[in-house]
Amino acid sequence: MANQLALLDAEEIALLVDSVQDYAIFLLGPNGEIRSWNAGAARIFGYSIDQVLGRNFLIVYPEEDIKAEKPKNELAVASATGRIEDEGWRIRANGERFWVNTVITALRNKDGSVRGFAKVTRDLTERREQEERLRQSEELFRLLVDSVREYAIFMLDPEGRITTWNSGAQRIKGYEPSEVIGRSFEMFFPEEDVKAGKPQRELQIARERGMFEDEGWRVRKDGTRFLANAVLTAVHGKHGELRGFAKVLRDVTERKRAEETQRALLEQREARLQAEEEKRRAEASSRVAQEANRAKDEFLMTLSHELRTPMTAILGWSRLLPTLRRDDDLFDDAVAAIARGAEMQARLIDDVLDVSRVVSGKLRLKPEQVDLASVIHGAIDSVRQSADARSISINEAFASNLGSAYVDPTRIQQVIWNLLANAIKFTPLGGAVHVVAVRNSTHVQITVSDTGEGIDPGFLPHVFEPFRQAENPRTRVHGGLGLGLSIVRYIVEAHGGSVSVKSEGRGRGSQFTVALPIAAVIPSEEAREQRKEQPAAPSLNATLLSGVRVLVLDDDNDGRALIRAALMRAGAIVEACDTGARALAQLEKEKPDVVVTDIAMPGMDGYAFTRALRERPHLADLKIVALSAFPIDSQSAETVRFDARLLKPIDPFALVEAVAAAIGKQPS
Amino acid sequence: MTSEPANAQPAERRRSYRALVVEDDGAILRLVKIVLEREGFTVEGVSHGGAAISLLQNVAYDLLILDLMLPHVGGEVVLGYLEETQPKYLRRVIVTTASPRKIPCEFLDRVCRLLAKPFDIDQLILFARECSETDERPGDGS
Repeated sequence: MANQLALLDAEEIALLVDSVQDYAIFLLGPNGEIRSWNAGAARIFGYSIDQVLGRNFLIVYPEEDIKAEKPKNELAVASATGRIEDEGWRIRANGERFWVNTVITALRNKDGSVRGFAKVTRDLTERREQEERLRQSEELFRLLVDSVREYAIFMLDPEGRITTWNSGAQRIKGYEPSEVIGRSFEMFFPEEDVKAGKPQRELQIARERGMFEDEGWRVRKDGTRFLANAVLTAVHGKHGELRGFAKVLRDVTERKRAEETQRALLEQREARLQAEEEKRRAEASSRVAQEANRAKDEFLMTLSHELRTPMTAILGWSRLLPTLRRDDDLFDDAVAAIARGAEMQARLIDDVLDVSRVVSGKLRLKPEQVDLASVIHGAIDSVRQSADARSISINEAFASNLGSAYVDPTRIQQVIWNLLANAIKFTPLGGAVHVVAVRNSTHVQITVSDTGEGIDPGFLPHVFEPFRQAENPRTRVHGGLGLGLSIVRYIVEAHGGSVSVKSEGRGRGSQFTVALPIAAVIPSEEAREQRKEQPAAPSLNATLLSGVRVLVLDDDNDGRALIRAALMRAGAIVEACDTGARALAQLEKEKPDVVVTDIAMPGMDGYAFTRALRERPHLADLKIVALSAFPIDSQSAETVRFDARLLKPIDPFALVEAVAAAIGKQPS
Repeated sequence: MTSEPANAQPAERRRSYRALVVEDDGAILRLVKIVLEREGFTVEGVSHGGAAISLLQNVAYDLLILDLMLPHVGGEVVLGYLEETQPKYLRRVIVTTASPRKIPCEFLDRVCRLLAKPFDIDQLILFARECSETDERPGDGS
């Protein structure tokens, strides 16, 4: 510094010193008279240079310092040692006191005699105020901590020894400060925790992570235990060194107890509600069981009655038979009566067995390609005799394109027979029964209507329920078990179709309609030929799906190829996949207009695929045509929404029409 | 009658006895009729309760064979009619039923006999003789 200053001339040094604002720098003569006064001195002491030049520097000292000859002593020390540094009060021109740091340096001649002094003074008022504020704030904080009674707040040194103790700690733990200061905080832990090293572990964790929170048992001075919620915080110095830990602890025994009481109450309430709910459910299911039992008893009673009546005729006539001669007219009557009774019983038993198969899920369909018209005719033939006996005419009207169907012929004939037998049973003498069969773009419909008794509107919703009969059981006109229509509904639904009933009410006839889905139907050769002969038909099909984007999912290569070819021939743009996962990935890339999916596939089947697809919001509205072989899982079908279902083997025409229908296109 | 009766009994005695059979099942009605005719009864048959009541108003039958479950007007209604008009005549009634479990025990006190279907024709003949030969003649005490 001296070397650098040496490069400046005296005038430049005077200017530099003069310009310093934050320090008062001035020169004194050997006896303390002021010889120079820089800008900082003028600012700090409030005297201008004119007011002080030549005056003794005592003017800036307080009275008591002057009396104690402190200024004089300072000059003496500086003379003797070369330098003195001091802090103390000074007085400004306006009489205000302020705290300074001052350094007085003796200036000497070449012979060593004191020529004067350089004095540098710094105003420390601000720093002192800050220190005072800090001291007061610390005091306040200490008082605050001390006055907190709800929380035990105390400090630990880095080894876990207690260094402070507030009134809350005293209240909660029962120790006076003198009993704990300097001791390890382990003293508050239960013995087993100390043995397990828990306190040291807490310190370790707080040291590593800055904080540790814990809820656990602690021990009071009187040996009783309480449940504490405690937070241990590591306290670090300015330079990051660990200075100790702050521990804030609360007695939560009461709160915990209250919580537990509350929880116990809630649990009790919950248990009571649950018990009530279970009781309600048990009562409901017992009602259902009683109802089912009652229905079963009723059914058994009816069954017994229905079996006993033909049995009476069989037993009676067969007892009579040996007494009759072959040429006796009665002989043939007896044999016929026995046969009729046996047939009636056989039918009843068949119905009961069918219902039992339905209930146990063992009714198996044996579908094959059959001509629908001949199936219906077979049913008509078997009721012809009983219709004739009552002079009831059976009128039939079948559409020419009715075609063949992939159905169980025995079962579908049973359905039609049941509907016809009912119609005849409930139609008065001389009435008429009509059988109409038509084929539209999605279904084949077979309607059996009569001019008979009709059905009460109140009973209409129950006609397909098993064991339900509209008749008063005491005065039954028609008898029977009440199973026929429930069997009809089951068989039709197992074919993927539906059955419905209409009646204008009592005495106004009734109409039953069976609808079998189109895919179960393959048009007859004749209808196929007709289709080929129409020149417009192929071109119509070639444009029906023009530009329609279809995603096909089928694990079977041949099936996929067939579907793809049929759709492409109708103008569709087809993307084909062999697994559900690939199809879903493809759907993420591009959304088609329609998805055609097989049902039975390994891994993700058609139901799972459709569910996954419907769960994706942007695909939920996608039209889906399902292809399935027998039998349709009606349980799963209920939970999955298909826009159309086709039964295998797939008719290409029906497929194109179903896809077109799904997106609202009609073949013109 | 071109054949021998199932049970060769002195039918002559009952030649003048008249029986009414009420049964909606044609095969059973015909059977009962033939069996009773072989026993010497003069038998009339109807298939519902309404027809039975109108006949009972005019004819004093020696025997009534009544099925309980009949269309429209049931057997119970016919019994009710008899209880009101000719209570003693109930001793000449054989009730047939295909639902014997539905019949309460006290019912047996109301009529002569209860015959559960399917019944044995020997039993029918036995009951028919017993009930038709009661001392209470139709019309007595009514």
